[in-house]
Amino acid sequence: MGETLLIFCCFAVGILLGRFDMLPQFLLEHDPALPALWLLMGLTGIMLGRDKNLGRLLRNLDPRFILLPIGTTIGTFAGCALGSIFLTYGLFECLAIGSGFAYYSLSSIFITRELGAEPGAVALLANVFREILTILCCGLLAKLPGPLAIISCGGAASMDTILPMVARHGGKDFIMISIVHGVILDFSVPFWIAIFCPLAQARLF
Amino acid sequence: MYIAICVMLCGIIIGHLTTRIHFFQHLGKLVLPAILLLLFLLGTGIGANEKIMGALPSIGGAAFVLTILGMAGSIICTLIIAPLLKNTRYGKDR
Repeated sequence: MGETLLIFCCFAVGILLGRFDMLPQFLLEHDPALPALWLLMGLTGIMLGRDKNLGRLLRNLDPRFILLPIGTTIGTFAGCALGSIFLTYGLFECLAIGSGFAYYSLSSIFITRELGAEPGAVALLANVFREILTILCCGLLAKLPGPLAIISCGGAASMDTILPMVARHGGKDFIMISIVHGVILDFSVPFWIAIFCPLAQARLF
Repeated sequence: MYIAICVMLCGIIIGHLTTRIHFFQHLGKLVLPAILLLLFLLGTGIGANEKIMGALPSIGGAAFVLTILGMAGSIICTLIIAPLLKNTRYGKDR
């Protein structure tokens, strides 16, 4: 819990400093989160490489891993379909927003172009929220439903931003399934958006 | 995204080649500070992003509802799928 609070505080301080323009210019001109992610991935890789059971981890690749991204997709779409009942957006708009799977840059650009600025902004926020909430809740997710839930909630980000959290809270055994899950969802994002956007434009539901 | 995976692969190779060097063992202590740094920088990116901060008051609630429901659906499906992965090490309860 203390660690989650610390992570949340760092995130909140970052938002405040960014919001009130209290950052040095070079932080705004470049995307400094990317080198920080590379540092974290490099450290995770080194720790994984030092593991004596590395070969065993690679041999654990199983065709059934594909069930997890399928489950994430079905669960996310079911949740978003339920959300369309309460919200002013249509069923297919909600499904298009959900099909970002935390890959906010790509999904929000596509949805803004196809459905307009407002659904695009909702897609941006919803997918940013998904990534951040997964990071903030990963301790809780690992304890209650289990480490697979961190991977599933992380969506396409399970192969990058979420991966160090999976290694930290679930153990090294979960790294391969997390990468496979992230890669499959990452490739599926444009595919689902290309299906749902025309259906949303047709305003069937 | 794929650069991050390449960096991790390089890390795996470095880690594998340096298993006898004890100094590299201490790098594990840097993981939490690196996570904190990443979250801080992600926060600055979001805070400085006018598009995100501007949209937050009007449509933040709708986005949050979709996020929570999508995540809840994913978690429920994970619980259904976990037993199907039983013979792999992921199916067992941890």
